[in-house]
Amino acid sequence: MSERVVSDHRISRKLQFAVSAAVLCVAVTGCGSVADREGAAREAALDFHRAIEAGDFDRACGLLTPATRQALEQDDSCPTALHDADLPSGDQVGVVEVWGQAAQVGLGPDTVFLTVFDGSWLVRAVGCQPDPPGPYDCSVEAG
Amino acid sequence: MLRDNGLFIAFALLFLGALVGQALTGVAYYNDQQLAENLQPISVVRYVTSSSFAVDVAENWQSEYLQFLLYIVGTIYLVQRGSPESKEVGEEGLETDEEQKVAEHAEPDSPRWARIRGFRLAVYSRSLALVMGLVFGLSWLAQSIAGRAAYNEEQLNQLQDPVGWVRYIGSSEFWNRTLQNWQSEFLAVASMVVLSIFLRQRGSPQSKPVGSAHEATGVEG
Repeated sequence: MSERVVSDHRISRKLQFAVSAAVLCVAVTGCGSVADREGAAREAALDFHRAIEAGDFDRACGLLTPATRQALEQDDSCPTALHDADLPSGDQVGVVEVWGQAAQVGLGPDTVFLTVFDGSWLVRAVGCQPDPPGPYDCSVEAG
Repeated sequence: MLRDNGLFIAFALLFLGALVGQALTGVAYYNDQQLAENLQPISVVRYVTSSSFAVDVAENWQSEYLQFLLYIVGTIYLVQRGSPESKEVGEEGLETDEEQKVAEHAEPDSPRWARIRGFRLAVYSRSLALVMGLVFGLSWLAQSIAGRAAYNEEQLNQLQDPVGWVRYIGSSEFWNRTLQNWQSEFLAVASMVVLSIFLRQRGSPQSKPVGSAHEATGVEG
């Protein structure tokens, strides 16, 4: 009986260690797999587009980075400015690129640029069209 | 123990201290850039696991190991009259088995792989250059992989498309990082070779004895 108890105790200790290591890893470094990070960035971009298509501009504003939101609020409120921006719609996910704290997600005719803020992906620029050889030309971006 | 290995221990500690300093100043610099671009700063733990830190470390490593690799191999065939870093003029080349104490010329305390002709002797005869070359190659590869990741993060921050690995290793960014390190290593070696002809450091094996003639080659103090 005592052997069984010791064995269970060891498994429990190992499990505790594995869980603690995983939690510590995610909490401290945010080190999910590449697929996890790409999935999270894709979901954040889709979430933003769904909010726009549903006319829920308050929610969409909550998914922008503080700087992008501030840039939108220069002349009007954020929801009004987003409404007026007339962003292209589309939920067909194209290219998803995640590098460090930055991501790019293709959604239909649109390209969305995101960045990590407090552990979540927030939209930095949206309504972006390629404009080679320079940066993308975006209808909403931080100033 | 400490006295026998003082040189290695001192440099290993200097290496660790400098690496910690690089991490702390690196995260401060990285976060300055993040704030300038209206992005969120990151922790030092996240920074030391980032591609930005990795590329900065790897680009310096590869150039140092390349320097030693070229020095080890170059001094087989090239000499510099008057330099303690060089063999005597006329001694260029791989030298005889007797001079190298291998195979039948091995001594009782010679390493095992130096005693019998064959594959092991061939490998062991080049092992220093092979390991330096391997570390150089791996560091340069790591620089290219981490460099591409760091470059792509910056590309996305500037609302531009990321690039593939092949395109990155043909980019000015990759070669600028590489060559700015190489030029300083080559200059350091060239300076050491020439300055050690005329200048001395008493007590250092890297220098000729203070009273040695400028013409004396291959003499270590």
